[in-house]
Amino acid sequence: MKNVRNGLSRRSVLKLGAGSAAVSLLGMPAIGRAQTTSLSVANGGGALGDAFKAACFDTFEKKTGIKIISAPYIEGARLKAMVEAGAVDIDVADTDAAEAAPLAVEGLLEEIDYSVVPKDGLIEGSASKYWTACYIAGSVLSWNTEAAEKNGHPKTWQEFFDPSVKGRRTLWKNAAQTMEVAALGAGQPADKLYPLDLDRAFAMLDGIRSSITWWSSGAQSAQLLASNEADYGMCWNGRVDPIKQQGGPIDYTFEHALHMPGIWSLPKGGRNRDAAMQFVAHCMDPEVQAEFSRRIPYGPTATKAFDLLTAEERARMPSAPENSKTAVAINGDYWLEKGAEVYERFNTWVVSQ
Amino acid sequence: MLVEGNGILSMKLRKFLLFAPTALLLTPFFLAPLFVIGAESFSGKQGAFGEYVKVVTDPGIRTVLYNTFYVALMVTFFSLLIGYPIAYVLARLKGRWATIGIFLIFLPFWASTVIRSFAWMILLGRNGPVNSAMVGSGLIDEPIRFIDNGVGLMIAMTYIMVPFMVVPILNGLRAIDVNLPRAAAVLGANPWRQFLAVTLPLSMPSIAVGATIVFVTSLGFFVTPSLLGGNRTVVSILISEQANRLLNWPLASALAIVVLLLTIVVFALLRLSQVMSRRRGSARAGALA
Repeated sequence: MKNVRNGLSRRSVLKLGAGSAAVSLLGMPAIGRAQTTSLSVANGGGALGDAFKAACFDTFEKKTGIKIISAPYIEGARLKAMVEAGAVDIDVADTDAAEAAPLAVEGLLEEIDYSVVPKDGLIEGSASKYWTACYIAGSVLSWNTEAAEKNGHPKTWQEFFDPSVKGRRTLWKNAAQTMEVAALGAGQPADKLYPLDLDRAFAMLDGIRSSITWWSSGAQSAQLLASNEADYGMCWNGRVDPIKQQGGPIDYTFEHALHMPGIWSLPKGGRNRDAAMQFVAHCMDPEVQAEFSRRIPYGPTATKAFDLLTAEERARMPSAPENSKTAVAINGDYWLEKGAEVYERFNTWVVSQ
Repeated sequence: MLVEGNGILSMKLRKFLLFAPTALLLTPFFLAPLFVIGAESFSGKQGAFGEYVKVVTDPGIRTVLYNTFYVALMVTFFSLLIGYPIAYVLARLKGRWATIGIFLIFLPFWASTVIRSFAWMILLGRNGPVNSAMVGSGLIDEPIRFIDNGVGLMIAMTYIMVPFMVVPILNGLRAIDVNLPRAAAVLGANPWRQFLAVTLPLSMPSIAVGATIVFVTSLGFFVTPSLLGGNRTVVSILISEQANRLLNWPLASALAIVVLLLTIVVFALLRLSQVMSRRRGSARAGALA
């Protein structure tokens, strides 16, 4: 806090000049906006935060003079409390689309101004009314390579959910994503996945119940596979790929992956709405996205960004055209409508013996 | 009642003033939020008591509540089983050794709960040191499953909670007059009898304090159950999911209130049993006299 405050007071005069210059260059009225000297951007931190800082934050600061202050990830409950209390101190928040859906319905997010944020050239489904996707994460079928050498590994979700296939499986203890792969395991076609056939999906889970080890955080899922606590599982590609790159005993496939957009959204009532919108626009720049994806294996949403990446780099991106032929995009609207009901059924299933 | 009216008033006033700092702390930081949560729990879409009906009738939620209290009870029991002997030994240590002993008890607190829970996940894994040692030594044929069924959760939580049991019991044991067990010895009681008839009953109040701290803290564990809980989902996980992911604050609030009420019931029963046993005790003493 102290650093931030010092930084502001020391440089506020300079920033004011630079900020208003930048704003007038963009052809916007300067009144009220010139005061924006910094934006508070909540994000997941860690490797993701490092990639954001290098690719998005520093370049935005260089371009506009507006400093980006990285804030810790903001959960739905905190965002709701913040907006309802009228004390919005986060200008932009990075969440996933499923989490943002109920926030949007409750009117807690600003509408994205697509006269500022470019939506042309983005992958389909990236430009929603209340958020814009800046990267695509994949939930992928992953396995421990040492165990796979001995016993092989499932190549599709149908094999994954086949009770006659031996091995311990790890899945996210969460209805969203886990029910999707269970439905795929039941043979529901990828292009007709929604609405999920819940009865068949739960029957798939019944079949493998005794071999499931649940994970609750991305780090945990990677740990379970790397230590061969589980032989195979559904993991987020951003968690398993770094271990694979470092030579760890993990591999994965983008075949039949689930695509989950990572998004920028604006909590309603933020004081720096216009600068925040500019920041979101900046993050849609293909060069910015390409640089981001070089630093963390989440794929761009700007299609032009793929031209800037090498074939080797693209091989690690869930959203690269060659990797997404059999992928399914997670349907946020489905979870918005059915979430409460499906979560209840899922939670009851987990605790019933 | 020799005290004059004025005196009583000033006594009351003095008691009130002594209570004031606690009240000042608890009103804004505990009672007010509790009131907000209470109000929220009645604001669901299915009418004022809709969320409570759901909590009581939903089999999944009932199992989760059962899991929460079951795990907390087991952790309290095993913390006592492990913590009492530790406190007993520590109470007998003198000078520097006592300081070192207490330092060692608190050493694990230097690492966060997240890290310690993660460590247990690795220790208790099917290829972890515990299972490797047991399979390697021929003790068991197949690795034991710890982390999918709540067993590992209770082991890790007990490990975390033991110090909270040790400290109050240690204080209680130190407050016991050393002449009392000696007197029992003089009257012919062997060490085991001395312990059962004198030391243990005198340390009961500190056991109650330790058990209360461990039980209530265990009800609210979040990180450890999310890493090690397996299919034993506990209520904190459910509350977080409802509050954060589904934004169903009325249900999350109702769950929190129900846990609070159940906790109060547990402690009312505990208190009642204490009062009853004291009455029985004094009745027996009266009969003997």
